[in-house]
Amino acid sequence: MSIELLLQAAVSGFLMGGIYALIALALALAFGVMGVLNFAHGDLLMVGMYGVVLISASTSVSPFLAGVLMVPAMMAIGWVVFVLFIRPVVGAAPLVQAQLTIGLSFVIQSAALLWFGADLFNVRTELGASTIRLGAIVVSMPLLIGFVVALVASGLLAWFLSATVWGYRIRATAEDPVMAQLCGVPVRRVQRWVFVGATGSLAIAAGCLMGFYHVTPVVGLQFSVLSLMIVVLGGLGDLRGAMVAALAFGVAEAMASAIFNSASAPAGLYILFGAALLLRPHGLLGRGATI
Amino acid sequence: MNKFLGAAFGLALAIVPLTSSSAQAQAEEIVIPAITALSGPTAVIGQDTQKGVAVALEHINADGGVAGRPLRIQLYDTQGDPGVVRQVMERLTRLERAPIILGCEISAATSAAAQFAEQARVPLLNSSAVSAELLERGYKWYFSDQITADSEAATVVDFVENLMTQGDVVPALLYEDSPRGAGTIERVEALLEARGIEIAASAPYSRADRNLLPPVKRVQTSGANVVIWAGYTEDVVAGLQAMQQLDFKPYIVGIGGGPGDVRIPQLVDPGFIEDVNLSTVDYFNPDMDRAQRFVNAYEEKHGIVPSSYASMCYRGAYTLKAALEKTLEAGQELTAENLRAALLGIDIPGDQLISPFARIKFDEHGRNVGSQNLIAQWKDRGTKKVTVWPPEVAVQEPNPLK
Repeated sequence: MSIELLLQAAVSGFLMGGIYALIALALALAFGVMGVLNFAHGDLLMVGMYGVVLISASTSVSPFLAGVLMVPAMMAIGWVVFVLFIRPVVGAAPLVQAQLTIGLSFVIQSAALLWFGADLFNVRTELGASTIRLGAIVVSMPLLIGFVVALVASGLLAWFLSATVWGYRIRATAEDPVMAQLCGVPVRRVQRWVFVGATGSLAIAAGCLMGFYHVTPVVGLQFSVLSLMIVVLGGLGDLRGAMVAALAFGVAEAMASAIFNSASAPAGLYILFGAALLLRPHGLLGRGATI
Repeated sequence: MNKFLGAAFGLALAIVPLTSSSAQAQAEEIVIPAITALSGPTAVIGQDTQKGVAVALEHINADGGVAGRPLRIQLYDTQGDPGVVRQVMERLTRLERAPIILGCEISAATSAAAQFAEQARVPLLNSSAVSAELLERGYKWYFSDQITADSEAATVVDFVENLMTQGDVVPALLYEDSPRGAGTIERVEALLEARGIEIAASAPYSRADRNLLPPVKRVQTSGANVVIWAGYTEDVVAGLQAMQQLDFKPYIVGIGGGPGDVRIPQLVDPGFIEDVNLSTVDYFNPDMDRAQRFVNAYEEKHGIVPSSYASMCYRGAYTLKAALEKTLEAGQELTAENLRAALLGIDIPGDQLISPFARIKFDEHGRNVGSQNLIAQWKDRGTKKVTVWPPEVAVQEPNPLK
């Protein structure tokens, strides 16, 4: 095992972590404002990924642009999902929320299987094999662009939350929905728009992923688990914590694969996750709610 | 006269039900269940199996069916989950009393099915899973007409030894870490070591890994110029992209559904596919003469040549047909015991098969002693798979080692 290999893993993992951050931020925001852990989050991302494939195939635009074009469609889907499934369980017991969203996950997977079949789809672009070389380290261009796009989107989200009236409303609702209501914040409308916006942001993440990854009907499950772990690790409801956790996760995942070189590498990751929770139950930055 | 007419009429009335019931018995459909993953992570196997079986039934029934009776194979979805497999097997054996079950599943699910079939004393005919370990358990009710991981490993090592006659070969192993990938590579590793061939690197990865740059770089930095790679389509696509980014062009000898997936040229730069001489050990290739009826029918229906997954249970349907016919022609009922005996007695010559097998004939362990592999290589700028090994079935020479 060489330093070169470790550096390669660290760089690739960090870039991957940036994209994980955008995926997890959407979930963290939804949880922070509504208190609903959406187990179908990865499957909604999967829907966005199929959308990117369809748009790219029919218009030949890059997956990153296709992701942006998918935003309105994903927001509409988010609206429907919120009204039909999420709003009725806001404030319900966690088990009820989990059962509903897990069931929704199965429905989305089955629908994707019926509609698109089990075959794998990806988006091939001229950028696909392009790289930037930093000495012995190779940086994949699609991954780099995905990281930059995800970072910009996350930055815009952070700015929105901190510098706009609606951002204040969202933060107020997340902090204390009752007091926010008493202060005139339309809490129900805030919750709806947060879910819609979070689902819309998954379109950007989908575009970033499709630059180098593939989609199948079951790909959402791994992203649901991943984003849930990141949100918990970062501290439930803590957006900055989720960002830090996502970057740490990306690096740890790649380093584990490089260092251990065995089938048990993912297990090491889960052990680290468990240890982090024991030591920092309120998240990495100590600002989140406990489970 | 009236009495005569009345007697004739009465006789006619008596005969009609007899002839109808005999005609009915001749036309009576034989329905045999098959298990496969129509949903879940391995749904691509079930999807292609469904298409292959449909073509097989069209051909079998067009050719007269099974001893004159139409055959229907009813697919049951197992989701590729061993737990669901057990539930489905219980239903098929205990409730529906199936006399035989066709298995078109991955090795993990087939293992669960084989255990259940053994307990229920119902033959399970596997046409998909390559696990050799299942055949070593001493099961009496498990039959496999498919190649095994042992024969795959032997074919790979023979091919690598052939490459060694052309120049220095430094092999490395790259594989997904499921029982399928790891199990086959373990056998390859043992054979290479037994033949004194040193392995430069061994790099396992998880199928769920989104970034295969680290394991591929590990192989690249080992100095390997031949990579023996066991993978499924998703990880092979990701790994080929990583190789392209690293400008790493080894000679790739693949194992499993990934390297030989007919969709590979749509998913990866075809030029790069040929640059790495992407080859795959397989049990089917669309360029085989004996497979043309199947290939043409499949391509006409689906607009694409059949994958190896589609071929598995097409072949399995014919093995099943042979066992059913042997039982019926002996005047026996279609029971589990009779079908088991029939399976032990069938001997289908290779020229009647779409696979490159010498024959389908089972030994006392349920192993098909006539199964054989081939190696197919992507040629024509990575757009077409051509059989290149062994020499006796090769359509073209394999690309030379550069």
